[in-house]
Amino acid sequence: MRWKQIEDEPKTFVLIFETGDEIASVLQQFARDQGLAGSSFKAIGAFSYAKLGWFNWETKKYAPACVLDEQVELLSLIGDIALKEGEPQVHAHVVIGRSDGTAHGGHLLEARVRPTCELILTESPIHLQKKLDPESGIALIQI
Amino acid sequence: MSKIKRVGCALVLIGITAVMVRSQDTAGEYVAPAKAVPTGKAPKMQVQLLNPGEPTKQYAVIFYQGDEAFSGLQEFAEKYHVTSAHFTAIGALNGATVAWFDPQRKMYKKIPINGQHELIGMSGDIALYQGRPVVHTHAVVGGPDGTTQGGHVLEAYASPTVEVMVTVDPVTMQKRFDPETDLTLIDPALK
Repeated sequence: MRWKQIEDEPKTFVLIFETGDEIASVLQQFARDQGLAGSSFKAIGAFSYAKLGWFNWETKKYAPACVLDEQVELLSLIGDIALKEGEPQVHAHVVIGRSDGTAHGGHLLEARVRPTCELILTESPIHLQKKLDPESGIALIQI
Repeated sequence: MSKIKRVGCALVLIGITAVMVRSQDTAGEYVAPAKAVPTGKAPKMQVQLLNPGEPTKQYAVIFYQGDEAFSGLQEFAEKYHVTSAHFTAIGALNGATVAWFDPQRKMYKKIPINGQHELIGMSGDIALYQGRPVVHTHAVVGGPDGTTQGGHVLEAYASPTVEVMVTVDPVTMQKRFDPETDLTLIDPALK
């Protein structure tokens, strides 16, 4: 993954992922390196593999919704970054298109880029904090 | 049983039947584009300005369990005097109604989304019509097997949260009524 800061106000980055990059972990590492604490981002591109999740309200966990071990278009990736116990936490959702044009989507668990993924990220001066929500069992942004 | 009681029972039964038929019909129901948005359906909504002092304002608008996010965004737009904005959102929902615009009927066909779904992506904009902000937003939702549905958002109930990142531009964007479609469309030339 290569990146460049393209604007100061608001602080904006372009991240270009390459074949083989696992997007969720690379983005998490970038957030840690840059100290991101209140960001939003979107991306398009293509994957050779994607594992998507669905939040199961009964078990309070992300169940794997689908695993696509094939070349797919990344039609849309939308996400945000907030702090959970001082650490940046990336939250991203994707829609992917298969070779017949049908779409699948869910919470991004893991995805391998091929050949590219172009992500634009805007960071704000104010931090967003996540706190454990007892009702859902997961950390939600609290304002 | 007296005649009055029998008539009363019959009326109650007719009422119940009417309600049942109505709820079963939701899938095929059409709504007119210019429908008033109810208020007070997102009592837990929280708003945070992310870049104080900047001309282009960035807000995080966060909805919690049970909040109806579409009317909540409408309330946000009115309360913060938004005259031009765009946003993206992710989260999860329990129950939503999206819609498909039927150009022949000039009406939205309702598509009910029942049960827990990921709100995979919701993007939209806010512009003014007759001096009031109007929220326009589309969403893709995902079920437990990753299959997707989507459409023009009429209502979306957060479960447990919907995170909306809004950029508010320091300009005014106006909508005008388009008689050909009965929709209000953004006209960048309008001042």
